Amino acid sequence: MNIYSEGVEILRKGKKEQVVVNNWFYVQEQKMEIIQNLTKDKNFIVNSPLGQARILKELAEVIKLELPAGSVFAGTQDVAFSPSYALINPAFKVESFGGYCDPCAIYDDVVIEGDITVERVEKVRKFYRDDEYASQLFTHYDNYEKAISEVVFFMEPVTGHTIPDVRPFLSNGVLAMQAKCSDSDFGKAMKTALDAVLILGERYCKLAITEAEKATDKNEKIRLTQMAERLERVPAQGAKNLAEAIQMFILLWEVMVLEQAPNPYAFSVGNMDRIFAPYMAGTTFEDAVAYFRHLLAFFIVGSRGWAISQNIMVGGSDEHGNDLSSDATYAVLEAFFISNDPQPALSAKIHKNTPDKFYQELGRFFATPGHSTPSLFNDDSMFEMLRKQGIAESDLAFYSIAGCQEPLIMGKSSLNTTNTWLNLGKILELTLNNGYSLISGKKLAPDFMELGYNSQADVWNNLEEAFWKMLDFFLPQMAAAGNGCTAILGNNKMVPMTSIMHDGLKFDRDMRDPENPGITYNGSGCLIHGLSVVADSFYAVQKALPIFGYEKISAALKADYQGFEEIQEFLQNQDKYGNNIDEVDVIAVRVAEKTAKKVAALKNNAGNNYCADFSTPSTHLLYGYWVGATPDGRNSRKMLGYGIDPRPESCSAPLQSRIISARKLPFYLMNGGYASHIGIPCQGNSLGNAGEWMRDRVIKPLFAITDNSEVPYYVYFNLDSTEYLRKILTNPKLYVPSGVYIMRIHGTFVNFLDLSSAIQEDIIQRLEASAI
Amino acid sequence: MRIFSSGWSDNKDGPGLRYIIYCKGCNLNCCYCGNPESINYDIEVLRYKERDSKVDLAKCCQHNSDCKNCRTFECVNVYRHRQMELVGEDLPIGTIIEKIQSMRHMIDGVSIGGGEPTLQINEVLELIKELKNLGIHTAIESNASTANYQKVLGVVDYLISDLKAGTDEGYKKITGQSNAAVKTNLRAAAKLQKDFLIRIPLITDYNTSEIELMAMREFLLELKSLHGGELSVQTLRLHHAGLVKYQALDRDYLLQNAVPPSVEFQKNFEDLLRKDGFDILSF
Repeated sequence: MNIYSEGVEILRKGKKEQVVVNNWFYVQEQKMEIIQNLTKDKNFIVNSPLGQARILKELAEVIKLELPAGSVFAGTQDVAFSPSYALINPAFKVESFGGYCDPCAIYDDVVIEGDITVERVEKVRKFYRDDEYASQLFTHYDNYEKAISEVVFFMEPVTGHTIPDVRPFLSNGVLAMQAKCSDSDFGKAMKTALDAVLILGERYCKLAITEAEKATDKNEKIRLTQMAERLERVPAQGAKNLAEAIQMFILLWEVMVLEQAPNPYAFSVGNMDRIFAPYMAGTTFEDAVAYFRHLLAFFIVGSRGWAISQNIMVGGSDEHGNDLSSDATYAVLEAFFISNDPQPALSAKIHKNTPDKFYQELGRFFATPGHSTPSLFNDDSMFEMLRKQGIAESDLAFYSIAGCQEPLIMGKSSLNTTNTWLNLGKILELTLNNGYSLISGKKLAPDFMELGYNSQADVWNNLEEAFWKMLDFFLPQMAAAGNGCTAILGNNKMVPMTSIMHDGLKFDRDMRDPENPGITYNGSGCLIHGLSVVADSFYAVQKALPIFGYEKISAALKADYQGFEEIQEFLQNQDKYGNNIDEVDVIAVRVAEKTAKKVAALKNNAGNNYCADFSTPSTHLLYGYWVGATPDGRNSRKMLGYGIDPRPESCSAPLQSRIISARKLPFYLMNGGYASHIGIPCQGNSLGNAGEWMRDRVIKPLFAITDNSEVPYYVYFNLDSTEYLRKILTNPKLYVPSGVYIMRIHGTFVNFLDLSSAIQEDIIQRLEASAI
Repeated sequence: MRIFSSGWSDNKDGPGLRYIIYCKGCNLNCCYCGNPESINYDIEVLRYKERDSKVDLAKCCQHNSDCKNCRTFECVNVYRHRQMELVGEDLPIGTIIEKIQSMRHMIDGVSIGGGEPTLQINEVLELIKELKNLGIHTAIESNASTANYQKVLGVVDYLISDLKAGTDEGYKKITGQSNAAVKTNLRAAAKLQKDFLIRIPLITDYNTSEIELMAMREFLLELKSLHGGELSVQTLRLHHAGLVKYQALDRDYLLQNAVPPSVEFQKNFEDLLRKDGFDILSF
């Protein structure tokens, strides 16, 4: 083992022992003091690009720096993240989810210990609660209380789900990039923000020298000395080799998350292999793997490495179909394979010319029980979808994934990916119940007259049409709610640092500017929930109405089927979407198509379109909790379907039939992304050559471009036996001595043992419903 | 074409991942049959009484549960009653082809099984022709006992044929019929069919005696000789997966208590054949 590999093991061990994650709080407290000090000058404007950049620069001067044992590179994300960032954490409870309405709820995460007192925490909380941003946000959420209380829709202030382009920095260095900034206020703000990177570099350099002098371990001394030598050059100058490039990347990243702390949005890396490929010369494969493992460890926050949706991609093709994998691709894959940590997430790009070697490498991940498995993106299909969105040919190959599965162009997109959340299940419920909620009994929506019908019977007889009318009622509200969040964020929290890593130099404007964003590709996201429940319900109502009549079915829904078991069974037994039954699949296609088009017709503050994203990052559980019984036979408060997938209990067809069913959907209208999962209910090591098996039996059948039809561009897998997962839960210490058993849940890796029971059960149920 | 089921087969009914169509109707009535619903050509309803249902079957049926005389099958077609399953569907060849084309990119071929596919020889030949026109690999699984059997020789790409017993007595015990036609057909296939697999079901007390095994071995050697000195053979052990379907059809399953041959027994027989130069396929 070389000294870098030795170092990463020491570093990872230290991270695993880091149970308390309070660093972000100290940083927020320091930031508060900086703001209080700066605002003594009445000319200082906090909520301005220059103001934000100045605060960032001063923070870089004062935040406490550490170089944990084993480090090869200096830098951390601990300054920015708290455990509650990750929705998928052990404290997650379907019943108590409150959304992201309260930007100060994060202070509940502080562990009161040592010098941190309750009073100290409350003082900081109060400071931020009283600022313009939080005040405006609270008022805004209050205005939409009626719709969001039972999540007909939801909204949040985001623009940070992006993929910065670090490449110009790596090749030129920060000084050269500063020289490119204009003399405008925003140019000065970007330049000032970059000072923060230089300051951190200098401070880390001094610290590394000091620590190297003190180090008694020979290897530790070498690592620290080399670190200091690198920091003499980077980030100020361009990187000359892989180690310098990674060091620069980490410092840029730290300042970028610091700028948006606490709990920044999901910055993702993009094609890590392509970013670093130009710097591979002169570095052995073994060293490269060790360096990449250090870089992966940088993304881990806290002992369990909560999934914070930072996505790393490898592989893929250019716009002509030429494969772009390289030695760096395989070094990154090797690093992931050895480390097997729950964070960051790995995604692989597949295309028609993907080499067998790439599949073989992926096969190792699939074949190892409890190992992370990459989610897959289909370049051949993705490029077509992006072309239809007007993405330039030269940008296609640089699509990257922000967070879980939302495609953006590296350095050129700000799509506010999770700006709004739409609950089709709730809209169906309100349509069927004359505008009243089955959960609370409150009237939340128009009644039949307001929808233009003569009776509720008319609504049932024209259910699909009435549903679209109800959706049309809510969509403008949702867009206004989302746009309000975007404006509040953009007008209060400018991001000159993040902007310069996007199109800041090109537009000389903040990428968060609500009405005139300084970015090539702008839009707003809408995550659409409940596709399968709505489609299956439409079909079931068609079949049930002639037999039972609407009053009886309606009574059954109101009673959550108690006393109406025959009707529930009838509804459950009707054909369901996802089993390659055309009659019902075609309804799902129609629901997806019409919803996507309606969402895409909405405009954000900048006049750009909303993007239809059929993703439900565990929110199919949360949003299902607020939806009463539905005519597909689903009971009240039960989960909706995950992403575009059928509900687990609705799907009995073999894998191949499910693939055919899925391929019918209008993927090119899902321009914001979509979520889909395939469960392989056996351990990957029983598949023989797992890479080949996955390629021939799953990946190619799902992804192949066959005709003019729209083809899936995303999928993730879980391969495991449900019996084994249940065994693990009964005695984790016996079956998983390491304490880490990685599974996938939506776009991220998770430690299965750390999940709440609701999500563990979701994973198992979806595997149980799978068939090969 | 009347089928009773369709599905997917991964290297079990021909090479690679295949879409398989099961024809309804069989001229034999083998005691071990795992798909008893395949035997009768008529469309039938199976009732799985063990399946929990809260729906009163009488409410979904205008025929007082007289399934044998029912032709509307409302219990299935309208109510989708959990206990009831309709077996048998008439599909035009064009419809089958259309379906196959939607999955063409994901399959290595199409297999036609049953029941006995050669009983619907016109439809089978038409289907094979259409599939070959599309460049799709074809396979047939047959009991090799019908007069039509030889019509598929050299036409289908891959032919899987049963050898259920070595002696005429053994064959009669299993099927109720003589094996004379089977032997004639298999000899013809050995001469004319390039990709050809003999499938031997190992049925305890029916074809597992030394006499039966040796008789099958002797006949296989003859076939091998006719097939240019090489022949692929597959053995399958008796299983009782069809039991629930016998119960759902309200039919007796005579082998319910038969103990399947051991894995070791199967291996020993395969080793013997292997020594004789047969290519033994294991799934």
